[in-house]
Amino acid sequence: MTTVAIEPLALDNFSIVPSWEGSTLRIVFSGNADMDARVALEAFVKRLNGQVLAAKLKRVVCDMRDLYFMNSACFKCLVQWIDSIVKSDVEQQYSLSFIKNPKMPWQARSLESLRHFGPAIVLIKIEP
Amino acid sequence: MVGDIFGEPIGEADAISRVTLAVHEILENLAKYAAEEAPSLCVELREDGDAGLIEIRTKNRASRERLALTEQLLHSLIHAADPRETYRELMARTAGQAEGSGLGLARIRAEAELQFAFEITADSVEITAFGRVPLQPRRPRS
Repeated sequence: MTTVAIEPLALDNFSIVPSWEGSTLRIVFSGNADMDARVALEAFVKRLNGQVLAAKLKRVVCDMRDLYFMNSACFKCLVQWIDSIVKSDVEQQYSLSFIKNPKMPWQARSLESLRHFGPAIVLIKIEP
Repeated sequence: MVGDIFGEPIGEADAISRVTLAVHEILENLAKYAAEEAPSLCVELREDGDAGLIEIRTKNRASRERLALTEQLLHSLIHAADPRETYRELMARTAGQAEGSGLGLARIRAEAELQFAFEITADSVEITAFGRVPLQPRRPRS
């Protein structure tokens, strides 16, 4: 396993900031993932998936606590991400741990939908 | 923000969140697929016994192809025995599709837990997403 440089994504109302915590890649989503964010998010996820596979990571943490809303077009980028992982060779697969904000009820519902879609690789957590 | 509008009359954060999600998705669908400059959107909340009935109505023109896809999708969502499973199947079926997967409407049915009614005419579709929501207790008049 190697750590790699992941470029952040910064738009007017939406950002993704990657960081390393030891050997764990943590990705912090912030703002509002609306129709203006979809194209950039899709490209980010594709690039990230390639880098994670190349680095042979086994886990990525997605911190959603500062994400105010995500529309279905952006949500689909996460669906495509999970779909890509599940369709990878078993030895290449990695897990996605989503940290939700309990004060944003939509996150519990949407993240549960992702877990239902990819139960073998999607985890949902609460962190203080 | 959309959620702020419903915070006053609707009694629970989860219900506010469900309605907000539905309105966001419908607004974005109108922006993406409506074939005219001024599609209509009406959101109505009225008392229905001890709860409220929320109705989100839209009417817009669209291409024949879009209308056919919308009709097929809404029919499957309205009659879904398990909307979350229908939603999951749609995710799997459309993961490789760039546009027009219908996830927004499926999300309204599965995550916002609203039901649909719709009417399609020659070149337009009217969709109503509706469901019961808890209301805030009335404040006594001073």
